[in-house]
Amino acid sequence: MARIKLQDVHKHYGHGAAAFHALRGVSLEMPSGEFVALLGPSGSGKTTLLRAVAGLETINSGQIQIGDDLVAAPGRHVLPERRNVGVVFQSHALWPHMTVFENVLFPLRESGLNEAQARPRVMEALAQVELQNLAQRTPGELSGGQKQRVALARAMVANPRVILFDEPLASLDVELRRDMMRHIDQLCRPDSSMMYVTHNQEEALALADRVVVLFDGHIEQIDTPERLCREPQTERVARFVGSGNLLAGRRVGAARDGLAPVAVGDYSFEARDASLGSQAQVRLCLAPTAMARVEPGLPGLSARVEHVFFQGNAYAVDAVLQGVVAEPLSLVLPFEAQPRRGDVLRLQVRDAWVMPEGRHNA
Amino acid sequence: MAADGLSLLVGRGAVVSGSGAQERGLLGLALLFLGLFTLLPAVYLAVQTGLALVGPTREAVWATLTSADAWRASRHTVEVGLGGTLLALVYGLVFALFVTLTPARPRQWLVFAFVIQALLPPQVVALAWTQLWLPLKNMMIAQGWDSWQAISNPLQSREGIILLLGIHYAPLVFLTVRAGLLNLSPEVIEAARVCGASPRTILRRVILPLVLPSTVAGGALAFVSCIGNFGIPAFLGIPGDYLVLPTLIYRELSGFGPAAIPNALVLSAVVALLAALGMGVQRVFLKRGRFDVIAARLKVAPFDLGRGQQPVALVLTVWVSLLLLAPLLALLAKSVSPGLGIPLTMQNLSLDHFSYVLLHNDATLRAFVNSLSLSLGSAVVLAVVSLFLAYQMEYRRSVLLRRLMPWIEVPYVIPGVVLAIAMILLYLKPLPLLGWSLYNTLWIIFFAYLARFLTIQLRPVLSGFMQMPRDMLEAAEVFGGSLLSRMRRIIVPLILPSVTAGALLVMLLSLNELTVSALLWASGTETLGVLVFGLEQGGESAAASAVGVISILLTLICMLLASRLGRRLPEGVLPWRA
Repeated sequence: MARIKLQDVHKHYGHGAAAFHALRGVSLEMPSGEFVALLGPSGSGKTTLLRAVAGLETINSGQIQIGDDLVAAPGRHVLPERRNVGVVFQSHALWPHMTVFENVLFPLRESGLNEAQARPRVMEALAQVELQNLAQRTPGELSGGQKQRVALARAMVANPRVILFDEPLASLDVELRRDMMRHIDQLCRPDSSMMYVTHNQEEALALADRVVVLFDGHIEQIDTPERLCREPQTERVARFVGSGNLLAGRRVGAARDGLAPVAVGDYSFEARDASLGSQAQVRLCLAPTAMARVEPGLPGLSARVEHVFFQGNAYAVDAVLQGVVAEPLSLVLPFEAQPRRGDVLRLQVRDAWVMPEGRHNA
Repeated sequence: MAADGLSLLVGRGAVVSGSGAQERGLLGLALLFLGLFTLLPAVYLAVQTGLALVGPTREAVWATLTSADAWRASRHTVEVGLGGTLLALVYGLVFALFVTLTPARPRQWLVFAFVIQALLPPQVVALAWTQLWLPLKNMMIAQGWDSWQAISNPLQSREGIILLLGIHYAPLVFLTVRAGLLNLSPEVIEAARVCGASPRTILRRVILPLVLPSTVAGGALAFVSCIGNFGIPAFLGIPGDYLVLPTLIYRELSGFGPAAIPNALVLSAVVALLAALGMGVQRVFLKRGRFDVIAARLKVAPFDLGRGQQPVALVLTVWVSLLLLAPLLALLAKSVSPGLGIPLTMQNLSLDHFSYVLLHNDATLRAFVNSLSLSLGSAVVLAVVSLFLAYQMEYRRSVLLRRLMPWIEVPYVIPGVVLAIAMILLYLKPLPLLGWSLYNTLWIIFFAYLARFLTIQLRPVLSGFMQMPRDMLEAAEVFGGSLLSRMRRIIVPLILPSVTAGALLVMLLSLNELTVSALLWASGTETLGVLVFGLEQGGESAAASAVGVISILLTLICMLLASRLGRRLPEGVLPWRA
């Protein structure tokens, strides 16, 4: 498995004023064995980026390196079939006229092995996705989850330098998703590089070593899942990844040990602060789970409940802050909180993050 | 960027440099094929027409163009063109509305019996209709109607030509209107219903306006086909000296040989001009016919004629069956008739005419071999070419090839005489470097067929590609495999039904082809169409009928084989399926 390096990759469709810029200068370096998720809303360029690495799209400028090979640069485009990558497509893309075995055999045979040499490797790959018993079936006889597992086996059988996933779970239902995630997770070995495109933050956070958040064709933030959720660098990331609530606040003291005393209205609390900034006005990011309901008399923020969505073990609540001008808060409250529409909640902030300055919405 | 010129050729997401030599080489070959066989004849024809009008032959050419013969033939061409188109329009439109919008039964037979008219060789159909006349006339005379002695075959007239053209080309209108109707969303009709509109109002105010563009487009196509048809006016017009432009050109060329080429050229330019007019109208209206209301497709017939439904269906079934079977039975009867003047009974059926054309006559046998080789050859070559063209157009989205697409249709849509003249002009002189001429060889007909039938083969392959999920081809690309290996192991197996169906359609049409080969054949390179025509002109109606019966059997075999591909084909590939 190999290091992947993208430098200032640009891609646009069409020309002049009508051009659509899918990628606007993307640079990224993936060490060998890393699992990177590309996360972003539709139209953010994540699929284009993946297809550019696979060689299914040409790029307009910049360069892409896989291992020591320069696979894409101005005037250079190594064909997909010569890049030695594996792809798991959204719609599985199995060939209906071949059996499961033949589908998985295909990459090996194209790399020059005959069927006898390749058979053990095909069966090993099928065993990894627990499908060795269905080798002689055709894709039409498989369930959606099984098809996607065959696609997974096909993608990894030839030991590609990188496995690319293009929203592989999008067409599966929730139960199968979890199962498929286990299979993908199992593939993760120190020597396998993976690039995983999704618009579903849950998948990205669960599977990836690092998450790349894309908006409008450029990278907004690259971080581990934990840091991405706890320390979003821009407001768009805060909203998109953690459905974080953004509030205007002010500093009420000097930061110490990474914690800064801040206040919203007349309620003051501590917020994590890495900005080393000194401006009085700050933007605060509060995760939906970072606020707890407390007795009405205690210090805290007051918010009136607008909508309640029961979720089995918790409530998702939309609430409007009272006495402070802000967007509606989205909260996740435990079962004991028992919120009802129209209630006025007293909320204590348990955790907050001071948004870095100067990197507000680009 | 420097690669932009090339990406115009190969489309986006494609090979730009490095290892794409194979793909670029094949693209180059495809472009060469298109240039040589499809575009060159048209360009050359235009240039030569211009030269003929101003060159050293100009006086003779202008004389031809303004001669009484040319004027009369042009007038006749417009007459039968407009007449046939009008008939095809009304007949095709009414039939399409009835079959698509009401629960017409037996739908499959209705569609089949109606559409097959366009696939039967027109010259054989014309022959069959004329065979219908004699038995009728004899019967009337036997009944004591002596005055019938003096009546000549009423089909051998302008009206006869119009009638047969109308029946032959009504399926073109039918198919475009039906496609337009099937593309309507049921909600369009339901919305009118819930507003309280009566079926009559819905038809007049909703459905007809929506299918009007496709109707006009179908009519324009029928017009171009009517003015280009050679078989029907040849059989029904030449005996009564009612000449249209294609038959006049044929007479000039067969009478005076290559010396008549400049005259034939300008006459064919008149046909081409009329055809261009029709094709322009067709293109404009075909574009307008595309509405974005195809979210859901019309599946069930939304209307019912109530008590009238069954009787109307019955009458139409009998009508289309009669129109199809009566002339064919007359043709069959003629082909097994024992001899002139002897009445046909079940006891004295004779297969002499079949053994004559199949076993005892070198010329007819040769025609069979020629036609079969031509049709097999063009089917195979076009199948391969269309695979690579469709790959570039659909998968690589090659901008250049997509722009060329309308031109690929031109050699099929233009009147056959025009194409034939273009081929003569191109290949009369010895080929550069090689030093020999293709004129009077089978090759010139073969090249004409390659140009004429490319679109027939390409269309099903293109819809096969469109139906194939793009992912599957991308997966093949990612997991290794050169273009040829992908073609062989992934694309061809997946798309084979469409390719085969296209090849069978090409075979069917080239087996039945007359217009082009009538002008291009020489002794030794006769085709089946030429053979029927020649036998009939030589007074051997029975032998001509036998050849006609065999052609129709070959047509049916091609259709049957294509039908067996059945559900594995994209919708609309086989026009005769309901």
